[in-house]
Amino acid sequence: MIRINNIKKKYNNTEILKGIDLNVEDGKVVAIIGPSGSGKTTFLRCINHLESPDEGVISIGGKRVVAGSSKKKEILELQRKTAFVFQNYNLFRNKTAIENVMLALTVVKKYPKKKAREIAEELLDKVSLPRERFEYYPSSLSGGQQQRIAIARALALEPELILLDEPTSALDPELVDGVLDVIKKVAKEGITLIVVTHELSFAAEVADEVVFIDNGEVVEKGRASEVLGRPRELRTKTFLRSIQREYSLIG
Amino acid sequence: MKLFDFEFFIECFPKILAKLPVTLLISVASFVAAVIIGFIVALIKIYKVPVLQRLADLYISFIRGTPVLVQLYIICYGIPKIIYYEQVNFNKMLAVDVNLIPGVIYVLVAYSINIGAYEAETIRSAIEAVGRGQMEAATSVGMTGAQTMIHVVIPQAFVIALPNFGNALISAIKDTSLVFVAGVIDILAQAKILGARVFNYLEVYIAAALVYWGICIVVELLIKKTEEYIKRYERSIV
Repeated sequence: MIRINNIKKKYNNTEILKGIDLNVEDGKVVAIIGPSGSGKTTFLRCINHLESPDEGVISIGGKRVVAGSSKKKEILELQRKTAFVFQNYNLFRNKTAIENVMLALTVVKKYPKKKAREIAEELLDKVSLPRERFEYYPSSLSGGQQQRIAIARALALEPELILLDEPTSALDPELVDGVLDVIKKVAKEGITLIVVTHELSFAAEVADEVVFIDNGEVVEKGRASEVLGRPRELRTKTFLRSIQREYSLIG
Repeated sequence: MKLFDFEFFIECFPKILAKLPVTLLISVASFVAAVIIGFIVALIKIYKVPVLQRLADLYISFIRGTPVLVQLYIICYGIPKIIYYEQVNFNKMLAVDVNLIPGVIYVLVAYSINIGAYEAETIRSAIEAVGRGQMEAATSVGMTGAQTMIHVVIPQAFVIALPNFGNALISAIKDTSLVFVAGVIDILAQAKILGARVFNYLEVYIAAALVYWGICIVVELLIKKTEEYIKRYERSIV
């Protein structure tokens, strides 16, 4: 069970997060949606302390971190229970595809190289990276391949929770499905996922719960079919309508 | 009188070339020390360490704002005086005979401090150019700050800093031509000595210039090769 309580964050007196709560049962997939600037990415980054929240308590798999009073070591332990998939992949530029996945295994878990390589090969197979690309550096791989490697890297430490920040927003349209398929595969394996996304159809298909955040607070949350299909709040309705308009313009 | 005494020139050349190791030792050794100093100062600035950060700014500003020659004089006259003063007034913790410290030590200290200030800025900007995304990615897989530095940031920053390092090393080789003030005989000092015997300064200075030029060309080539090897993971300009 993942419990996130009352997360608050300010930048220069601007309240970005006004106290967000979120509980996620193990193995569930939560999609966070909301307009840009609503604080959804900041919230995601606060969960594993890439950004330190000003207030709030986060507990993941028995590790509990209280903003402001927890020690560095406790935060590191929390970070080792989570993994993060970035919008712009952030693969280590000086490492090949397979080394990207291996690094945390050899450095953090102190696995011998051989064992790390075996795990990494298995994970890269899982995200369907062609074997001949294993030794490529990120700069010579497509965005879709890079993001799939990033997902493999996130899986390497067997985290209890993976946070995904708009994992397909930076991709060319034809590469989006490949990445979403990998995420769906991961979701089926029972790893807890929190995904910030603009892909509503993906959210509808994969997410157990959808949370709509606007202006630093949770406006509405519930089953995906409810929030996306029959939103109760006016703000949710307006947001969904604006996104759908965009889609219909393209379609 | 000849405009250019070619025989004398040929005769001097090997004698000047013989001092190449001195110049190389001083420049390479101080360069390496400078990179270490620069790295520490860069970290102080990046992590905004209180107090030390101010001192780092002061250090960089002073070194960049004063001539190397003046800095050399200050070190060469300052250090012996401090040691002597300590021995006379305190309990002789520094049990060395000031007169026995070779000039090359002062020179190494002075150039390390001098080049270090420039390297600090190079290294700082290189580390910052690696970008927050890379550090965050390392944090997100549970790596500590030190692990991130060693496996992710330093290897990438090194590549970014390499062209600057190359320039700095070449400058260092040329800047060391002032070491005669500390009584160290390097390429230029040797040229001066040889020239003074017969007042044929033009020949010896040209010989010295050719030696400097030659070594700088070689160093440049080496740097280029290293760069090509190290940048193999970058596709053209990234």
